[in-house]
Amino acid sequence: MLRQILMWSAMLLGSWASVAQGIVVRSYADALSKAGEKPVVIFAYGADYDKFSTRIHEEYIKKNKIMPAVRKCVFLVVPMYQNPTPAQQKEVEKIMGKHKLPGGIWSYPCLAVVDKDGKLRGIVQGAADMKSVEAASARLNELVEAYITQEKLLSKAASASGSRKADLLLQASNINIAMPDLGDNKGNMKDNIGLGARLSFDPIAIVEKLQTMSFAEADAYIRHMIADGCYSRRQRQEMMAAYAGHLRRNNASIERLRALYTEMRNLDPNSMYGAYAEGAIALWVNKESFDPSTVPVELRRSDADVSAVASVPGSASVDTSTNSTKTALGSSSLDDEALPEDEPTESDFEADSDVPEDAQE
Amino acid sequence: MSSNSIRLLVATGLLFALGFVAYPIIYSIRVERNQAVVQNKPVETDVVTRDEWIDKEVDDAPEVPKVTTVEKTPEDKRKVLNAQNDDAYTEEDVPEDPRQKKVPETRIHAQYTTSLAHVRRIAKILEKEEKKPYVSTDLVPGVWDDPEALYQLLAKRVLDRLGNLDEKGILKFMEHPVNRMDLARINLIRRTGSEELRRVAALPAGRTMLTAMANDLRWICGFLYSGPSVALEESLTNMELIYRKHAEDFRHPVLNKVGTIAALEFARENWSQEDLMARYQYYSTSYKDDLLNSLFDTWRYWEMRWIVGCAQPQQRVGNWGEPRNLAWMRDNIRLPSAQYLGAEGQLQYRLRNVAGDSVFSSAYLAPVLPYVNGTTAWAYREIGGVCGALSHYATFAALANGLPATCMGEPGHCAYAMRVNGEWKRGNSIYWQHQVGKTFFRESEWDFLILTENLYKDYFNTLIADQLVAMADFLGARRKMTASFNCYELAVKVQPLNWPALNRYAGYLKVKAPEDYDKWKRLHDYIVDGLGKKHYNAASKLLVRKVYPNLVPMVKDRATLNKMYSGLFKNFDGWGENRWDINPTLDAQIAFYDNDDDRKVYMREVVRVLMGKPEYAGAVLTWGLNFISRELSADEKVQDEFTDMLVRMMGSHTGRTKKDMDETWATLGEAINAATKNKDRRVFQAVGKLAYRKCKAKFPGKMQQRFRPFPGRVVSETGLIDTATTLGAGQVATSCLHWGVLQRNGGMMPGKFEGKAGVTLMLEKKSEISGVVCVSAENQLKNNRPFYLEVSSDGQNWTRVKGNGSIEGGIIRFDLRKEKPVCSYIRMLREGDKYEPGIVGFYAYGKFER
Repeated sequence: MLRQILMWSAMLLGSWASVAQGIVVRSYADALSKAGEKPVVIFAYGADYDKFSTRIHEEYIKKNKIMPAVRKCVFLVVPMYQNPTPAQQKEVEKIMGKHKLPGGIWSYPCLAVVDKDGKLRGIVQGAADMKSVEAASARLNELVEAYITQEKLLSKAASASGSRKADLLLQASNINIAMPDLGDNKGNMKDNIGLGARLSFDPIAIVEKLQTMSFAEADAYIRHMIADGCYSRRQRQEMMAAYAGHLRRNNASIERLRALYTEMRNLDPNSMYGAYAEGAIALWVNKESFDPSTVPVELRRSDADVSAVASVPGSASVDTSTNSTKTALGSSSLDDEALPEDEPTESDFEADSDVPEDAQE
Repeated sequence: MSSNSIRLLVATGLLFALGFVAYPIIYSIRVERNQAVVQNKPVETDVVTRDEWIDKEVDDAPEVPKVTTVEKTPEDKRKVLNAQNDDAYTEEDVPEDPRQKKVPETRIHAQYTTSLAHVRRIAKILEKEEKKPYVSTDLVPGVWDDPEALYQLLAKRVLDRLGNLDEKGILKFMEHPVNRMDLARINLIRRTGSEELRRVAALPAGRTMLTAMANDLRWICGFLYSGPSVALEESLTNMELIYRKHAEDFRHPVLNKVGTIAALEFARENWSQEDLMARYQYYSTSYKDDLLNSLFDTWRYWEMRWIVGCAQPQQRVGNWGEPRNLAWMRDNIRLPSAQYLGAEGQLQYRLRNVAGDSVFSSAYLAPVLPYVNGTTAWAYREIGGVCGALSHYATFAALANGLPATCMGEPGHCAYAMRVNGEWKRGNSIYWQHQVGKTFFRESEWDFLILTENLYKDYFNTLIADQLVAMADFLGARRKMTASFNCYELAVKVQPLNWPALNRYAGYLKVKAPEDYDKWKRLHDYIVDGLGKKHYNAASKLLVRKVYPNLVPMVKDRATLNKMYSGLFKNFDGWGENRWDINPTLDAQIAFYDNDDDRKVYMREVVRVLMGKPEYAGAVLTWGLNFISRELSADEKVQDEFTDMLVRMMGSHTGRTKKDMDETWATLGEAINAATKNKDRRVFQAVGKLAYRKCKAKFPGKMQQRFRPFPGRVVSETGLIDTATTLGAGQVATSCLHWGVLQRNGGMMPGKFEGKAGVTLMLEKKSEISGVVCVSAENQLKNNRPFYLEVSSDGQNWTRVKGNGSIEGGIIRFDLRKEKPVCSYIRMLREGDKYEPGIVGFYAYGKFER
């Protein structure tokens, strides 16, 4: 009998311990007040209109399966009602008070990673992220780790100065999670450390700037910007996209395009712009058109349980792991046809006789 | 406690525990027995048969003998029933009923009191029936081999039960689901056509499907009375295809609606069967997997049309309604219904992608399509887009999750409409001219969207009205005109918003009593006081299309006619649901007057009523000025007389307060903007001058920048100037300042220079030009790209006359003293990218050609 009591107690303690890994709170204000080095993780779900949401709630939250991933965070559950009854309205008011959920939530259910100022820094949402407890946990873990690392760097930067501060801030902004609001510092930093240039980066402005430039001028302009270490990988890819677009529309040679798109892709093969570059190579260099009918349309998200969600169209193919050797589109070849080292002249850009049709637009 | 007591306690405890464990097992078995299962969705079994219904509702339900067979008609003796469309009133080859030859007398409202009370009772019955739908077993599949014979049998049965065809008898008939079922079957055969129905029956699952539907009152009513029922053979053929593969689904109330509406809508839109099946699969699978918004479970047949019938079903890159795209949106944009309004905020607004490719070029999305599996919405989420992509994104996010929405065209813009908590709301909208994408009546204005909503929201009255129309059609076809008239009239009385019923009745009136003044006048008044109470646009359209052409020629005197005309406007309170185009109504009204005297009186007596309503004043003034220049005799005196009269009428409605002046200013702005659009220089000048007289304070006191003139007079002063900028509502309100741009003291006009878009001037007369000066609102113009000038004699073919204009601060000058071009049009353009400086003055110097 005693053994049984001890066993039950151990089980209860165990489950309590797993829940207690995160700080579970009941109100948004409380959550923000407890956040700092650790973020708030909000599980928001459709409580009265979305059976998928309620199943996820049941599976991830009520059965505590997501809790290990919330271990270092403040945790809050927010039900979303479509047509709330007065009691439900009260319930939401009690949780949210006068606050609103941060912008950037595009779909429920989701796990939103929010800082103490209520800014959304990262989010697990949509079919791919929420397809299973494992996938959601893995993604949440990534975000929480990124958040904690970034916060540490920002904290160090706050007490540093000069180039050390600049370096720390750039390191922080290199982490794949949104930066906190830097307030007025944004403008001041522009000239000193280049972070301002990163934060105020506008790819369309580059497109416009390139329009009146010769190929050689454009090349020099883009190379100079890329060489400036203050821009993120995505931004550098966007610069290359603008440059390649300029070349393509003005009938530059296929070889030049191939080299540039390859360089753009290799900068971050798993990113969307890595995929864009690969798509551009297929389309404008190899002249292969994409036929969507080759990709099957899967309508069914799940059979019986939510953990089996695997073949959702539009959600399954992107491997966000940075260690992957595959590109975003699954190709394992990373041709390294880098551009020539020396500065190109106009003749280096000469068009092929066979210019792709789309390039004429 | 004795050992017995302990035993008893233990036994009780054990029994309780046993019961606790066993109950769910027993219960689940009981439930399983009563429910067939469609995938994981229980099929509704709670239906009412005739016998059960009799017990519950009335004691005199008619007997329904089983129709196991119908006497087959030899092929050469078949009385083929042609498919009946909404414009035809065919009569069958039956003897005319002598008691039914008379057009019944026109009734006043009080004479409908008893019938309307009866209708309310029927509505209650229908409401109950919706929860427990009526099913029958009297039809068997074999009857569809001979639809003509079945029709004759049903027709006899219905006519026998109708008795002497008085209104009371007809309403009594309508009480019984048995009767309504037979009426629906008749309607099905008549609207589909007997040969067509025979072809449907010959399809692999045709007979079974037709039998199942014709024995299920809710289903057949959903098929026939849930909005437009057109192309019924194609609809039934579509439905057979779905039924052949998913017959079990049709037993489920929600999936039945999905299948039925998919069949109807795909036939109506003439979309392929391949796409039909893909669309059905999408919604049925999503529903079965619990992936749609829970509101989807609650939609009635008509509401499903927005969703299941949404556009672009074809599997093609760029299409939003294809299953791949819907599935992605369903899985990645899951929100409470109200939050779909504004969901376009998830996309960046971009005219060009980061590679500089225009959103309108195929290169814009192409490289990213493999990454997103060819999914349109996903591609735009990654790259961004303009109004079209943004509005489609929000619309289809809602549709993919089973919520009603539709895209809307606006001039040069794409917006959308979304139904939130039973109310349609505009999304991403910037103009009033909405062209709603998905419509029930092929009328795309906003007013009709709201009319559709209001009509079907009043569900049971509309259902009764639709069945009364079906009855009227049937009786008319059986040459029982009196009863047919009574049914049509009662139908539109029961549901005054029933646009199809009103149209159908007006059509019947035209065929059967084209010269019955009382009937037409009553219909006119009925539309004005019924539909016209809230739906001004719809009422006006109906009068213009169906009533005026028949009624007006019978009106004897001008005063009565003008009174009738202005009567339409008496209920107008603002624009109603949305601003609409009043011009066709005014055009139609005045068209019946063939001399200037009558027209003048019309303007004084009818147009004045509308001008007295501030919202309409601008539109009516614009209409009047256009009418004068377009329709009146070429005699300038007459034109001036009319113009003066209109301007006086306008003036008489403007007060002296600041608010009055603001209203006049906005009104005239609208008028001058319309004149510009119509390239009507005369009206442009007349309105400009009137605005200057009435609202001088709104114009600049004097030109701020100084410049040297060119030789000659300012020939542009009496011209018309136009900008390439698409004006927003606020900019339209200040359009009279465009006229000011041509005047000495200047005005203000947005300038847009991009390619061949620029500032265009139409001169009063052909002129020889010595120079042009453009004064910008910017003191220092961007001079990195040249401005240049083109001239034309017809506004179509242009010649470049001057290389570059010289720029000094905010002044652009074109010295043409050497070239001396002779032209009627001048336009100023600029090389390179878009540039949008404001223009405060634009002056062409020279002399008019003699």
